[in-house]
Amino acid sequence: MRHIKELFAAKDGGKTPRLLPLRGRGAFNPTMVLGIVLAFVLTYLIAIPVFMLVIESVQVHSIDAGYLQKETGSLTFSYFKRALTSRVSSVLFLDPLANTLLIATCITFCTTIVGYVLAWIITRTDIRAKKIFATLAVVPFMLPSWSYAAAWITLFKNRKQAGAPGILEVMGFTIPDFLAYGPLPIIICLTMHYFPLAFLMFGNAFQRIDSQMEESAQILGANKLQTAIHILLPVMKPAIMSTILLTFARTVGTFGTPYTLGRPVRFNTLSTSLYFTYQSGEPGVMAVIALAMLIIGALLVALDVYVLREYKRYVTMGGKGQMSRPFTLGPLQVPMNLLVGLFLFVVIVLPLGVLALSTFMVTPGWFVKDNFTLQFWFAEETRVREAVPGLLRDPQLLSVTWTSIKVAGIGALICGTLGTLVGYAVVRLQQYRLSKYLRHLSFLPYLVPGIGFGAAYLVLFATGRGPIPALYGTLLLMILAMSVMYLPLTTRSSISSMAQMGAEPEEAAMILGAGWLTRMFRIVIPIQKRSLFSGMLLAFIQGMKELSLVIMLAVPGLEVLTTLSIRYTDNALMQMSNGVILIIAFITFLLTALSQRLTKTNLAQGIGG
Amino acid sequence: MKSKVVYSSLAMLIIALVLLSPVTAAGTKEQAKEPQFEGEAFWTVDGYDYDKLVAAAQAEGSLVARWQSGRAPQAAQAFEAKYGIKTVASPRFDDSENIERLRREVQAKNVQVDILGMDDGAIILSEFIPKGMVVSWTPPDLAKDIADAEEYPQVVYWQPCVIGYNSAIYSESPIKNLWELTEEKWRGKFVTCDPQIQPYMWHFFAAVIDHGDEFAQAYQDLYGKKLVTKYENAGWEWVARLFANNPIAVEHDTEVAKAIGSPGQTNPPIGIHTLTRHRDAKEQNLHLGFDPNVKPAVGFAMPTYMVIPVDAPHPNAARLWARFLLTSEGSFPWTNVVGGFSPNQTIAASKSNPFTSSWGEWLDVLLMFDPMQSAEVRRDLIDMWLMSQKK
Repeated sequence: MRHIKELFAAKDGGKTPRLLPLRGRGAFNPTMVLGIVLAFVLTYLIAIPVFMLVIESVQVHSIDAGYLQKETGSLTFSYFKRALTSRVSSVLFLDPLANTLLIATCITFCTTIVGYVLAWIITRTDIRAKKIFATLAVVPFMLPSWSYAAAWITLFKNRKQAGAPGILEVMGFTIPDFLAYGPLPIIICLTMHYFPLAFLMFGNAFQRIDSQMEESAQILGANKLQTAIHILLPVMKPAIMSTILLTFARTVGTFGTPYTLGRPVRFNTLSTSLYFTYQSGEPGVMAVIALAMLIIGALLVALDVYVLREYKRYVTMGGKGQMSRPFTLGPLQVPMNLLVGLFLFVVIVLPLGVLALSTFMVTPGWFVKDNFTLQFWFAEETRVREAVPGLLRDPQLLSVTWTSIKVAGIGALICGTLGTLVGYAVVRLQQYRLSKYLRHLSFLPYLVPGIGFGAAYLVLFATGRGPIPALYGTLLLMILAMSVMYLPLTTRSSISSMAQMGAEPEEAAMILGAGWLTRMFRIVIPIQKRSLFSGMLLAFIQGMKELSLVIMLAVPGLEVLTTLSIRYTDNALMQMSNGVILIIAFITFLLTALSQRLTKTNLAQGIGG
Repeated sequence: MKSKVVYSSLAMLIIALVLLSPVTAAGTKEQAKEPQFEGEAFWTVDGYDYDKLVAAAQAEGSLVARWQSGRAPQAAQAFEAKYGIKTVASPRFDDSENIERLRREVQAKNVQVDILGMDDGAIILSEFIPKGMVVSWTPPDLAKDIADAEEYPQVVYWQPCVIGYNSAIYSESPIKNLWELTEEKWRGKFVTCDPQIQPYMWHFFAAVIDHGDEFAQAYQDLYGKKLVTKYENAGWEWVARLFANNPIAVEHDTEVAKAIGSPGQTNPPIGIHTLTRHRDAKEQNLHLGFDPNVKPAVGFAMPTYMVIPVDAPHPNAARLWARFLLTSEGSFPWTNVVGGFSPNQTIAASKSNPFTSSWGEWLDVLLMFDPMQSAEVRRDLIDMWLMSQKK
């Protein structure tokens, strides 16, 4: 088996992946210029805000100046002491830390398995209705993450929490605590929510694997299992690492689900603890918790570097043609179809159905004829609350929706462009430190809690600094923050697919005399457009659901859909809040489908067909 | 090549540092183009002139308010209609958001708000005012109708927060004395907003501590013996016992109301919520009741304050808005429904309020708190709460 690996390794990765003119001529190298410019931009947009956040954890905040008997802004370690060694440290920090690591590990494990298997079934076998399955598999990601928790609570809530119990208890079942709240439901809900991320990453990677590799292995006598372990798995390594990294980082920062499902049993994570310290006015301790999240992320990145230090070996796309031949399921085809269908039903239709149902009921879960109503959607004025019109009658809805689309859409475009450039620079400048700097920096935003990032941006852009104007109070800042926040999504997918693309296609063009720009637009971008596009779509989808970032930066009078949803939640109009979730999901789905049709490079078809 | 990279990253760092320092520090904050009427002290008690205030506010032309209540836009509409000043009143700014944003804006010298409506008087008195971030302003012509204690910081409206029960199950209050809540019978059956999520709840516990003597008396009335406590006073002892009695903490007081008042329960809990919840109780089919005679008090009086940032872009419009909210027109969105009371004694509250629509009578059955005292005990309260959260 080793030979085969080495055979391929030798073919593409064995020789230096550098582009020819990098050495020798060296005088003007557009890639290097690009790298340096990007480094500037990212330093300003990422490194400095993160640095500001770190400073907050050792600086006396004005609210504590009196208590600590120190000047505001002077150095202090009391926040660290409070989080790490005080009598409340286990509640504030240590238990949440352990809980966070526990759920993040479990969720990452589950999503990776589910995503990998699903992506393999849909891309590499001859299962039917691929296109539909592939499209549907992304839907869970389009819902705000807490919508699964909302649906779960509606179904499983037991009588421990005061008030009306969930549907199942009403039907006569007794729901034990561990099923209603705490780690188990959190893991299940978040796995359902995050597996599409893994699915997309794996789908894209599978897509680029030449099945000749598998066939050669089989010709040389390897069985299917051996092929899977020794050929497929190593080739998929960059994608697997990316998936683990992204999912783990995302779950460390996730807030809505642990908040909804964990709080009733006092199961706190770092993110909920962060929120509590924010709410109860402990900005210093909040910064310590944010720092801990950053450190977890940094460790992940280090792990990633360690595992992938040889990733150039696994170039899968050479200069030769490639083909992909599906794995034949044979008699398993029908049951497999049913199984995938059932799975998608459970993760999509069930929760959406529960949410949708709730918008038609005055008291969700109470199945009595009088309890059903259309008022939350259509009433000119709802009966449950005066001066609140039904969702579709709200004059604000249209403008709010438009703002959301604008912010997420433009943000995603910038994010995609920037991400591709960073990905290109990272892979092509691999032998320089600059590459590592860009690679790690561009991943940082993923690890910074949205609230902290928003706060840093507010300070950074509230005044004009040199050529950069004061952006605070404009829509532009929200767009900018959004595109930086989701940069990891586009850079990661761009890096992992660039890494698989050898230098050969570009070198061939170079020999034919193509300049840097020509190569970029005629070769790199067309080859990368699938992953570029899926990265941008992910950013767009995330942007539509983003809340914590927007809370600090939203312009007075310009709301987005998520803040509208929270506004209803705060006013205890759960039905309308759920309605907004459905609208977000619907619009996201619609626009995703539309943009896929227009660009013809759609991520579903890419994976399914 | 390598040294090139080193040089360029050095250069990059330097440029980044230059960019960071606000080069144009003084010049960036755009001065309002409208006349500021400087030197004319028509805000002050001596020189007050309503017409000049209106003229100055109208010259400024617009107003941005961040408000904790969802009803602010209604008031904004009325304000705009009356004075022709374009008003954006962003509703439902919770305190943590309002506080954090103002801090950052002041830090960056780019204040984008003219007036704040917020609950946390402790922050206002211990940080915002002493640091010169905001001022509290009382319209001199209305001052005679407002009690002095409600002027600093200026209260914009009051809400009673009451300890209530399920009126379908209990024909009268199942507790007559708050000490009963610390007994085994009510273990895990007292519902409150999680003070870590709704910081205004700290004020309630601070008020209890502030009225320690009344709690000592209530203890003696109930158990017929004097309370012995290792804490500073009986108030602390009550809070400690309540926290230890496994209270249920929920996100929002609408949930408290649902937990207490939902139909079909056999053993409903007791809980503390704003009186406003009685407004929608009927539509939501909730059975809410409370007994104003509970000892030592049935709840606490919760104020909302308004403060004006020192660097507000439209300071005159902010003052006109503050005055407007203290008139019957401006306070209408709050005082014409159940649960809202104006500090202006000439403004009548809704007649449909349970118990009484007279704010003076409410004050007899509610605890008042002192924002400064609340700020002082806050940290110890948080720690006590966190300790009780240990599993």
